Amino acid sequence: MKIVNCPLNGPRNISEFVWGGEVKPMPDPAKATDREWTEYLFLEENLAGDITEWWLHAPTNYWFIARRNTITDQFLETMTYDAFLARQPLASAVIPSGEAEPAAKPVTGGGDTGATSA
Amino acid sequence: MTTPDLHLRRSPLRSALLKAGAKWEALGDIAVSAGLGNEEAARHLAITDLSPLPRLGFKGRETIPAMQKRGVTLEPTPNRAFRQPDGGLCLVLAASEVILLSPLGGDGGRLKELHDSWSLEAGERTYPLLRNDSHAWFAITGAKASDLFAKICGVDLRLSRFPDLSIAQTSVAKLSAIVTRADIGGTPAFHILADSASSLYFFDCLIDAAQEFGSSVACLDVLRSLESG
Repeated sequence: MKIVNCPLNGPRNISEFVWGGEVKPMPDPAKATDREWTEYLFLEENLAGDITEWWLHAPTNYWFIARRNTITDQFLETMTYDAFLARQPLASAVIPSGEAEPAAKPVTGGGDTGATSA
Repeated sequence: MTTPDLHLRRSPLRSALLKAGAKWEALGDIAVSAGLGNEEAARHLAITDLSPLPRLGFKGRETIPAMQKRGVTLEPTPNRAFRQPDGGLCLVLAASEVILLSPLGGDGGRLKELHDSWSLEAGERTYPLLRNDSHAWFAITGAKASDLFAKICGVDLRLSRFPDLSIAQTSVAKLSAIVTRADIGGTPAFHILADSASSLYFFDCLIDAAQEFGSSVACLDVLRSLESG
């Protein structure tokens, strides 16, 4: 069984996790064309190599960020959304300006871990 | 003596407990099983339905300070439980969520007060969740409890690795569950909160997994005896 290290709950079997798609900026829903919105919702880059993704720990409904290699299918690291944001040179590359919470997924919790649960 | 049908609320496990030979006692507006198991069995391995007992959750970004303001004993440490002065438990699941479990005595007055005193107009970023309706509550007690978990849960819950007041939010018997260790009077005890609609399936899984260790079904009175020593 593959083990994933959840930032809130620690190492857990992969069967407890749900893939949430690549991390990408959300276009403004009010201004985006149908094509842009469709691409945002349904289309992935499918890069061969290291990518950054959303993952969900289902028992706690806790969303976090993982870096994974799509060739080896290895998890390189996992982190809270807050930790991910702190690494970004430009936060606006991931979330629309003026948004306090991530656009792509419901932000989880708050405080140090940015955690929440079901 | 009473029966579950005479009360407004019923434990989701009432049919399984009836088959196990339970008698019933009134606890507020619900009947709680009685006459099952004994202390010696509970110190070895026993499964107890605590679903009739009161419990309440709070969720939201200001939940921890809101609970501290109300006098709940807790720290902002996720996956950690805190014993309350009245004998209840506060489970800190995340920086934004707690579940409060009533003491084994079944007095839900404190939880009712916390629920009733909350108001939307106060603008606090926390809100109550009625965990009585969403989660069934089981207690697994005894020295063999972690052997049972080794068969149905991927997390290492051995007593040496999962100390008193630890919490694991994980999958147990393929069902999302909150597992809290909170020993009762020196006897290892694990409280499990899991989806109430699936509780009969879950109870069957626990009984099946525990069979090889010589388990029994116990009742609240037995746990109260363990608590009082």
